[in-house]
Amino acid sequence: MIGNVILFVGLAVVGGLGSSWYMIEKGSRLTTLRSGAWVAWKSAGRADADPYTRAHFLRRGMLPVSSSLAQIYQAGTDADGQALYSSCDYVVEGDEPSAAFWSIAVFDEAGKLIPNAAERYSFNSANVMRSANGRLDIRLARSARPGNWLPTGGAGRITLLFTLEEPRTVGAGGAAGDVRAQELPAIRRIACR
Amino acid sequence: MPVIPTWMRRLSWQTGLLGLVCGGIIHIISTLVLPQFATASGVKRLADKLPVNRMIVLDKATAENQIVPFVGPDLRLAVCRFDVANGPVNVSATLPDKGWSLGIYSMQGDNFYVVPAADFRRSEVNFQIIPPAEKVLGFFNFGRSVEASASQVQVSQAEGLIVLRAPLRGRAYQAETEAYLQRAQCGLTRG
Repeated sequence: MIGNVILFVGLAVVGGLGSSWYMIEKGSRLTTLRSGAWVAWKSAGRADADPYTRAHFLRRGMLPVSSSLAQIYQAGTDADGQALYSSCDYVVEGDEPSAAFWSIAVFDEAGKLIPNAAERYSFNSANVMRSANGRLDIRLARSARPGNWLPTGGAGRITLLFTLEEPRTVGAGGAAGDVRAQELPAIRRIACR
Repeated sequence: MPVIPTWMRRLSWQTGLLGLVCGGIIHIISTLVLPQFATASGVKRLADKLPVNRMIVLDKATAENQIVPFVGPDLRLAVCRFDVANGPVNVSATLPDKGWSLGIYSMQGDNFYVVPAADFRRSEVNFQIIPPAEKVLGFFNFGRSVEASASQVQVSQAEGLIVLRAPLRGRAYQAETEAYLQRAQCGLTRG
């Protein structure tokens, strides 16, 4: 009898709420585009957005931009699936994405910019320094690094945002199904304190 | 042959099936209900801080001055909280370069109308936001007049947000970007 009650509650409450949370927070292949650790929501900001996408942006308090216009990729983990922490140093390296304009910014887990003396929060396609072979090399660390350094302060868990304005992967029709994932630079952990 | 524990053999498949069905119902309800209780959506956060039918250029985001989460300093915004309950609202803006866009949001956060800057389109954007009933009144020439020449965007709800997004490419572009944003207007149609 007790076993049946536990089974029912487990499937109904834990399964129902847990699967809902997962679909809203993490998404699935049906609702998201993935490029390594980067995740973008296919129908973000659209009037025909699915309920999971709609709930995701409302829960995070974001102002979504229509995915037919811009792709916003979020990353809360590195390429190996480990959560991003301000106590670790990371490098974001790879080829530059194809878009009219792009930017990469670092936030704390709640989406707030991380205070730092350099007042540096992001890089974009116009102000980033490229390496000799044209690739991107952006360093995330608490203390200053040469080149493209993004300070992570003492924020705890951090989130990276890669925004592509008018990416080349959006189809002419602009429908959610026309949107394809871009290959984005990989996030690799260098060391942790 | 695998041995099934005794406690597991006592579980009824009917209970399991009922649990799955109830879990599905809870999943659907929780997913659909969450947006109704989201009081801190990005659109609402902005709307609460803005006057009605006036375009406001928001300050560049910094750690001390950031209204909407996950909006960085590479993006400048001019925002108008519109309300067409008292008449149509005229909107004008300039989209001088690629990456600029103008969007209309419902209070639920849907970006249902968007105009991107493009090479083949005029950089000036002018249109009128009208409530659903306004077109009918205009057609019979009753009520408020509706400019026939202006592009019209019909909204399903009287209130929403107009957001002009401008990529900020660097400090050198700051004054020029700011000037274009300041030029954007939003206000009730006169007459």
